[in-house]
This record gives sequence, structure tokens and C-alpha cells, in this order.
Amino acid sequence: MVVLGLLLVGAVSYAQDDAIGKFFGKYVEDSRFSVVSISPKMFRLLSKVNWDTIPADLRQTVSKLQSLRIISTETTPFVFYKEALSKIDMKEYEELISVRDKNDNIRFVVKESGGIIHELLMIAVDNDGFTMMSFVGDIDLDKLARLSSSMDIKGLEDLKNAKRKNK
Amino acid sequence: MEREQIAQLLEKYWQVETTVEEEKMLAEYFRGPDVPAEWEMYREIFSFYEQERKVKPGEGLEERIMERVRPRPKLWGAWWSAAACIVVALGISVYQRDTPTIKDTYDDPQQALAAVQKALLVASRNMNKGLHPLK
Amino acid sequence: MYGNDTSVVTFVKKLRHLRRTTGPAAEGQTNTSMSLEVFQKRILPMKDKLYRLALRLLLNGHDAEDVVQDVMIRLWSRREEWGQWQSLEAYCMTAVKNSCLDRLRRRQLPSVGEERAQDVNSHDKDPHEKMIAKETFMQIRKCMDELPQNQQLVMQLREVEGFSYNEIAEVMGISLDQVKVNLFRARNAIKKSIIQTESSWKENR
Repeated sequence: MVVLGLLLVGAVSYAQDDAIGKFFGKYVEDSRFSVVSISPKMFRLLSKVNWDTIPADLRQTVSKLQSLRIISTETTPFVFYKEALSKIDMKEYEELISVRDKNDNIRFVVKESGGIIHELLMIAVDNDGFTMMSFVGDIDLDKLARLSSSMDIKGLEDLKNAKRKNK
Repeated sequence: MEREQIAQLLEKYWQVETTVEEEKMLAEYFRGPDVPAEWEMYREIFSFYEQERKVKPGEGLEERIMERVRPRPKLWGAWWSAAACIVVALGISVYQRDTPTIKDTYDDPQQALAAVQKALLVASRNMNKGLHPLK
Repeated sequence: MYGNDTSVVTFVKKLRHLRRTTGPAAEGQTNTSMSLEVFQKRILPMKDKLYRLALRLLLNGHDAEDVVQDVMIRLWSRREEWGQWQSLEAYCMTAVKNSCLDRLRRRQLPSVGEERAQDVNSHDKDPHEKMIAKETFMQIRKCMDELPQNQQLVMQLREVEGFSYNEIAEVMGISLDQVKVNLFRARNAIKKSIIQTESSWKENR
């Protein structure tokens, strides 16, 4: 495994030593974990894809993203949840939203500088599993929040079509 | 097995008409104790093949192969981190950009886009859960 | 968490299923450990058979080991293709055979100083019989070693390793009929040589 001693310099690079990066590095080859990683390179390729079927606000959101990383497991979710939280340096991240139900815990923290949110980190756990998701880029929280209502109906349709095409 | 049957199998054997299983039967018969004198030489033949089967390469072969196959674990030593830090310091511009050390999950941008959409939806929903808990 | 689905974890699993099952680069990491397991459990155990084949052709244990090592390492580097091949075993045996034949062609002289890895089988017999047994054994070996190469290969693959005719044909790149012809000639040559030995012993007793 390549060394993780990169320095985060000013603007965000596809660094591997931020909170989720450390977690990734540790568990990426562990079969208990599912991992999704979409790099800046892939995000650049995305912009060349057929955007016609995608709603405008979604298009705008995606075009400003640089990377997406998700790591998830069904094994001892609460244990890994605690571990993941411990890897978040609260000097770098600020807590945004916290949801605590009877059975689940969802936390959003963000990394901000110069009035721009560079990273949105979601850490969620319930009895079925634990997931950590990181969006890196230029993030508009309001837009993101509004996405789900507009995406719900149309979005799911498109996703079904995308799946069918790719089979 | 009956001598009669063996005699028949032997005939077939020399005519190259036996199956693998029949040949195994012959071999097994000739491993046994009650081989009549006139078939002693056939016993030698089958015994020869069995000896050949026991030939094995030297002990170290497997290790030598595995050393080349298994990814080397020797990178975990302290000297590696020190050396790597120097490399990083010198070549930081190389690492700063997009040299992701984690492999992309998707080859196809279309699929990647679908995944991004889904992920955004999940994040968005969960945010709303937090913002409007009663919704 | 995710609307109607049970959980976010399910969602992540579904995300991974979006990609086509044949995406090689994407599955890079998990596949290496899977391939390693296949290599260790199915491929590496073939080394004995491969060694015996190489030894029969090269008559030199050290060279035979080298060939097996090369073939296996080459096989590992082509692990992406394993799924496409009908039979890993046939592929390996063929690769070893070809590698050996290459070496033989490059050799100036026929192999001298043969390194035989095996000792003679000794039953519980009286000394005279033991001597005869050893004699017979050596006779068979001599006869085998003097057979034409194709006959030797067919014998090695059939008598020692128990391959089917089809498998032998595939490894050697010859027809089924040719396999049988070679086997017929070889078996009967050995039979003949041993009968002569046996009868000459009997005469001298």
C-alpha cells in the first residue's frame, strides 16, 4: 500500500489521509467491507456523458464534485461507527447535522474553508450496517438538500433505465 | 479380482483398448500379493509407473514460486515509511493531483454517474431527515 | 434510512452491482486475493505432475524445476485469462512441454549427467530376487528412455499421470488416433524388452 503521508495543501486534492481515506486505507481489502470509489479522473469523464435525461439541479451538483468515496459494512456496525468517528479530526471538520433515532445514528460533518464547503462527510449506522460517505468538491448544501424531493420520482426512473442499459 | 478378468483386461491393455478405470484396476491388482509367477514381469511394469508417480520436485520449488507470486509484504518496515517520506517530499507535485491509490469502482462513466446520483439521493434524504425530522 | 429499502448498506451493495460483472480493473483488489487462493489450491498442486513431465524430457532435476517455476509464474501473470481457458491443467502441461522442447533444441549436446530423483523400489525379497527386481526396473527405465519422444510423452501422460486420450491429444497437439498408436507401440516395446530380459535371466539361473 502506497504510503499515506501526503500533505493536504490548501485546496483539496484526492488525498488519502483525510478521515475517510484513513478508514479506506485500513479496510479496503477487508472482505467484510463494500467500497465504492469514484475518482476526480472519473468525474471529469462524467461531464462527457449524455446529460439529457438528468435534471438541471442534479447536473449542477455533479459537475461541481471532484470525488465520491463510500465504505460500508454489515459486520459489527456500531463498533466501526465508533472507530470511524474517532478518525474524524474535529479541528478540520465541523458538525452539520446529527440525527439520532432509537435505532440509527446519522451524522453529517463538513470541511469548510473560505466560505466554501469542500467536503461533506456522512457517517451513518443502524442495526443493519454502517456506512461512511464522502463527497469532495464545491458543495452547495441547500441544493443538495433539495435534491431528494425533486429527484425522488424522476431520479428513480432514470436509474432504472441506466441499469437496464448497462445489463 | 478373478484371474480370468485380469487376463482379459491385460489383453485389452496391450491392444490399447482399456479405459482409465480399467487400467487403475490392473494397477491395483498388481500391487496386491497374489500375482502368479508368469505375470511377475507385468507387475514390474506397473510398479515402475507407480515409482515414477512418486517423483517430486525439491522442497524449495513451491517457496520460490510463491515468493514471485504473492505481493511482497516487506513494505511495512519502518525504513519504508522513512524512505517514502523523502520520496513524497521531493515529488509532492506528483502526488498532489489525482493519483488515487484506491482503484475506481467503475470503468464506465455512465455507471459511475448512476452511482453518484444514487449516493446524492441518499445523502440528501438523510439530510432532510435531520433538517425536518417530522417529515 | 433509504426510503423503502432496508438500509444504506443495502444501497451500497446495490451500487456495486451497477457495474458489469466483467469489469476487470474495478474488481482489482478483491480479485487478487481470490486469484491467490485459486493459485494456491488448484494450480500450485500441479507442480509435481509438471515436474515429472519436465524431468522426463530434460532428464535434469534442476532444469525441470526451473521450467516448472517459469511456467507457474507466467501463469500467475496471466490470471485475468484463467476463466477463458477450458482446462488449466492442459494449459500447464502444454506450457511445460513446449518450454522443455525449446530448451532441448537450444542444447548443443544430449543431456549427460542425468539426475534421477528416484531410488529403486525394493520389496521384501531374497537378495537374488531383489537383484532381479532392480535389473528389471532398470531395464524398463532404459527401454522407456530410448523410446521416441512422442511415445515417451504419451506414456508419461497416460501410465504415470492417468490422463484421458483427449487430454493427452490436447497437451501434445496430436490426434486421438496418434495418441493410441504411440501408446500401442510404447506399451508393446516395453513388454517385449522385459520378456527378453526375463527369459535371459531364466536361462542363466
